[in-house]
Amino acid sequence: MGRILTVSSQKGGVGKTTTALNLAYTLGRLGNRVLVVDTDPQGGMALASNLRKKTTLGLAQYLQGEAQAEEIISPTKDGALSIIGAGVNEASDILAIEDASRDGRLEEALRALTAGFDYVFLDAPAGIGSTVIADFGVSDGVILMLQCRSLLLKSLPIFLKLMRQVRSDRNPRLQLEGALVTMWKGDDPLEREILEDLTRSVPEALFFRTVIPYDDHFEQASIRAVPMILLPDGRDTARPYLELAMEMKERELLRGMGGSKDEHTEGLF
Amino acid sequence: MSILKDSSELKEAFDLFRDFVEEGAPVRYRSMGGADSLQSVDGVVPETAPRVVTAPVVQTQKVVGATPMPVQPLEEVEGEFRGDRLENALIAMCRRGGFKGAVVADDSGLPLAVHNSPVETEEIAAFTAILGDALGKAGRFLHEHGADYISMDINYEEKVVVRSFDVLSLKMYLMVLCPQTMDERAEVELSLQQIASILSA
Repeated sequence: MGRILTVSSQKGGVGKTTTALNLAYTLGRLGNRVLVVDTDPQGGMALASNLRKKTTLGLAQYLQGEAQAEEIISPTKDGALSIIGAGVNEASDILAIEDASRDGRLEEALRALTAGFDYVFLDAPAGIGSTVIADFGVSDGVILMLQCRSLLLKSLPIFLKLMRQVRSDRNPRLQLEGALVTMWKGDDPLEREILEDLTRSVPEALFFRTVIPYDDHFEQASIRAVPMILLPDGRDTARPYLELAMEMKERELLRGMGGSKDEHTEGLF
Repeated sequence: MSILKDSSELKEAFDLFRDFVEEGAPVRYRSMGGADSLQSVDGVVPETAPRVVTAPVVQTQKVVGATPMPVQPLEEVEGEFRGDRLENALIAMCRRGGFKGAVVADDSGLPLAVHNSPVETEEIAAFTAILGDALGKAGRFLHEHGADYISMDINYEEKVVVRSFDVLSLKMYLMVLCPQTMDERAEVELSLQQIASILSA
C-alpha cells in the first residue's frame, strides 16, 4: 500500500502546490506511481500543471456524483504521474468539497481514489479547516511547509495541535513527515538566523535537510504550467526537489530498518 | 538569544514538534557547525547556542528554589595544546553540570576557548566587557571588592553567569549558559580550578 502525504501549511503562498507537483514529478521519474490530488478549492494544481487543458472535471464532480474516478484521474505523458484537480468551476463546487469534508465523504473518496499508487500527495488548502482535517484523516504523513518569517512560524502551535488532535481522535497513523523550508532567501540575514534557529530547535528527524530556495524560475514554471525540471534551464532550480525526494526515500529506508534485539536477529534467508 | 527563542509561541511549537517524534526514538537536533546533541525524548532540551542577548535582567543573587547540582569528580583533561585542553575542560564541565555552553575569555574579551557559546563569537568581547564592568562597578558601590560572580536571566528559562578570576595577575572570565532552575555554582567553582591550572601552566 502506498503512502498518502498531505502538503500543508498554515499560510497560503508558501509553495505547497509547487512542492506537491515538483516532488511528485520527481518521485515519478524515480520509478514510482504517483498521484497528486488537489483538495484546495482554489484549484491551483490545475493551473500549475495545465490540467485544465485536458479536463475541467475533478474532485468536486466526483463528490457530487457527476464524474467517475477514471474521468478525473488524469495520467501525464510519462505515465508515472497522475493528477486529480479540484474541479472547482462554480461556487457550488467549493461548497460541495466543504460539505463532503465535514460529513466524511471526502475521506471516503480519497481512500477510494488513491488506491494503487506508491505515493499520493494531497495539495491541501492553506490554514486549518474541515478539508485539511479530512486530508489529515486519510494521510500517513504531513509535509509541513515553512517560510523563514517569524510571524508565520508563531502560528505553528495551533497547526501542530490540530495534527495532534486528528492523530489522537481519528487517524493514529498520522505522522509529521517533515518540516520543509521553502522560498528561502539565503542572502537575507534575518532568514538565515531564523533557519539556524529552526534547525537547532526542530528535531532532526522532523526537519528536512533540503531547503527550497526562492527562485524566479518557479514563476516561469508556473506561467508555463510545467514542473520546474521541464523548463529548458530549470534543471539546477529543480535540483532541491530531487534532493528532497532522495531524502524522503532515505527516511523511509531508515524507518524500515528499525533493527532487532540480538535474540531476534534473522538472516537474509 | 536569537530571534525565535524569545517567542512563547515558538517554544510551544518546538515542544509540540517533539510529540511527533516516534516513541522511543532519540531526539537529535542538527547543529550548525558543532557536534549534534542527542537526548532521550523525555525531558529533552535542545542544545542551542543562543546568540543575541535580549531583555537582560541583572541579578546579584541566586535563583530562589534553584536545584543544587551534584558535583562529579573532575577527570583528567586531554589535549596536545592548551587551547584543546581548555576546550575539553569546558566540554567536560558542561557535560557534568548540564550546562548548555561556556566560554573562557580574557579581560579584553578575546575568547580563549568556546563550547556552544551563548553569544556570537564576535560579541563575546562586548559581552564580557559589559558584565566585567558591571561586576567591578557593583563591587565598588557595595563596598564588596571581592565581587566576582554575576548571573543574568536572558529569557524565561535560561541564564548566563559570568565568573571573573585571575591568572598570573591577568583578569579572566568564565561565562556559562544554563537553565535558571539550576544551582551551577559548585560546578563552576570546581571547574574554575581546573581551567585556571591549564591557563597558568
